[in-house]
Amino acid sequence: MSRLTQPPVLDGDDINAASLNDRFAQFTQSGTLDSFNARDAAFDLPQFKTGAGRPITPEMATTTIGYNLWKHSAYNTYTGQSTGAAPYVVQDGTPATTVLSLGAAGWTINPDEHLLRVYWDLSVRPRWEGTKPWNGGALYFTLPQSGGGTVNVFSGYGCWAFWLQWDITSNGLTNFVNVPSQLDFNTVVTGTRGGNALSACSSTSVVQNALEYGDLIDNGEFTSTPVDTPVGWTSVDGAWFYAPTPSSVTVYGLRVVFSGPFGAHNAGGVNYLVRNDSVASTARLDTQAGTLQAMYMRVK
Amino acid sequence: MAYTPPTTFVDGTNLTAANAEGNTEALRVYLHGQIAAGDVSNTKWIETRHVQPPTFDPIRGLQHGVTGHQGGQWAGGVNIRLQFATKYLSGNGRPNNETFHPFPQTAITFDVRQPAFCLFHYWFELENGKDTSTAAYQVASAQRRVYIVPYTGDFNSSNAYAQRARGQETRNVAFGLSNSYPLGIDRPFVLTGGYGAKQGTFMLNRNTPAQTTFGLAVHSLSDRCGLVNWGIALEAWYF
Repeated sequence: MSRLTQPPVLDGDDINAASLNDRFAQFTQSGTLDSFNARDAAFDLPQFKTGAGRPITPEMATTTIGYNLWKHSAYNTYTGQSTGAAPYVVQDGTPATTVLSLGAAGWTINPDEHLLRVYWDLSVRPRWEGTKPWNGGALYFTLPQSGGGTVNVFSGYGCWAFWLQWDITSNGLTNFVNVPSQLDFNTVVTGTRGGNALSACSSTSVVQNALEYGDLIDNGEFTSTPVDTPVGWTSVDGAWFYAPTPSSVTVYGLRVVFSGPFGAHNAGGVNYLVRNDSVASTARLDTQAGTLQAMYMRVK
Repeated sequence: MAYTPPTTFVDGTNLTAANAEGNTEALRVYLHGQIAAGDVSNTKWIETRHVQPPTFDPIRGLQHGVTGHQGGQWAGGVNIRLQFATKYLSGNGRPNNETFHPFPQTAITFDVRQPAFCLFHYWFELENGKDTSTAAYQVASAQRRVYIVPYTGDFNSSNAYAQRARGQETRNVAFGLSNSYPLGIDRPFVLTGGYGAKQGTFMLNRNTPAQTTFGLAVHSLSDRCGLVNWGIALEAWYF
């Protein structure tokens, strides 16, 4: 394609027919700028920008979080929390909190232009101190027992919850807050117990904290004591995306936080995860390592 | 068609705004690819045929186009590809062993032709145990976990070990085998801890074009693990 070289009009130049004609004539050339050479020739890799103008994925970041001893020779242990507590942050062996930094300038995510995608995983082991301590909370069903009476069995809803926080203040990474549509389970829902409606759990993942079942069931009745199995070491993972609206947001860092024990609750047609304060002191969560990764993409 | 000014100015004639603007308007239409009304930014005129078409590789299930690779594979369909993991390929259940073996059929190799951000997504469903073997060198029965990790690069145990922080584990099923008919596990895996349904994503900055491999690997401390279902998916976005 040709390059236009006509200089601009300057003070002192004559404005006459010739200069005007020259100014338009520079566009008259043998090559055409039309639908054929502007589009039909197609685009391929050489036409795509690199660096800061990356066409699809401007940035990506990944880090290891937690205590990287995969065979669990040592790990971090956390005690259950009651309403009002700030969540735990995933820590390394120091222990120091582990976060994902998105650089000094952060990532600016614009409405209708960008999408933030976050993925994480973490090895954990939920457990309890004592014998069936969840029976002191609201974590069980009461079912009929053969020969009369009832028996309590873990509902299956008891869990630890994990969610995302971000720092949108600075890369000092000292101002983490919950990501949008995510609260910290400290809004009182029933009695004095805090929790979140599921609509406030946008980045939440859970891991069950007990396994209990009836070994011998006869005609819907328990004929033996419920059987308990430790959950053991397992893993929890999460995926979350965010399309900013109505204004841009600059994200400097992300981290995974957690709390528990939680159970299910329904009121007014709304489903909640609520804390079980009465048994929190007997709940434990051991944590090991995982990864926290993020990228942002253009959506147009 | 090349641009031709509608008006050619002649010395001694009036210079009118209409003539000057007429030339400018014709130039605008010309620069907008002959679109007489509207302009390029407000009128959608690129059709599928105007973009370099992608290629699809049905064997690997990958599409490669101008922006990168996308696609994946899974275990199911009519030809379900049940896989297995075992400690006999990864250290015989010894506590300090760090050997990994491949998770069959989950590796995928693709040609990165420009620096790319790669996302390897995976999920799996497995049933671990029951391993009640009694050799003294093994970890205790309750610790006979199976770990699955993603790896990149040619498969070897050290490449998988390097990703051990990403390992997701499932415990040995807690109860035993029935020795009366019907033989086999006498309780469901989901009730006794041996069931694992997990997923993960492995992001990689592949800033040098090269053949690139992602896959899943296993370290098992249990003698038998049925990998019931699995799926892998790949995104590689050129930058």
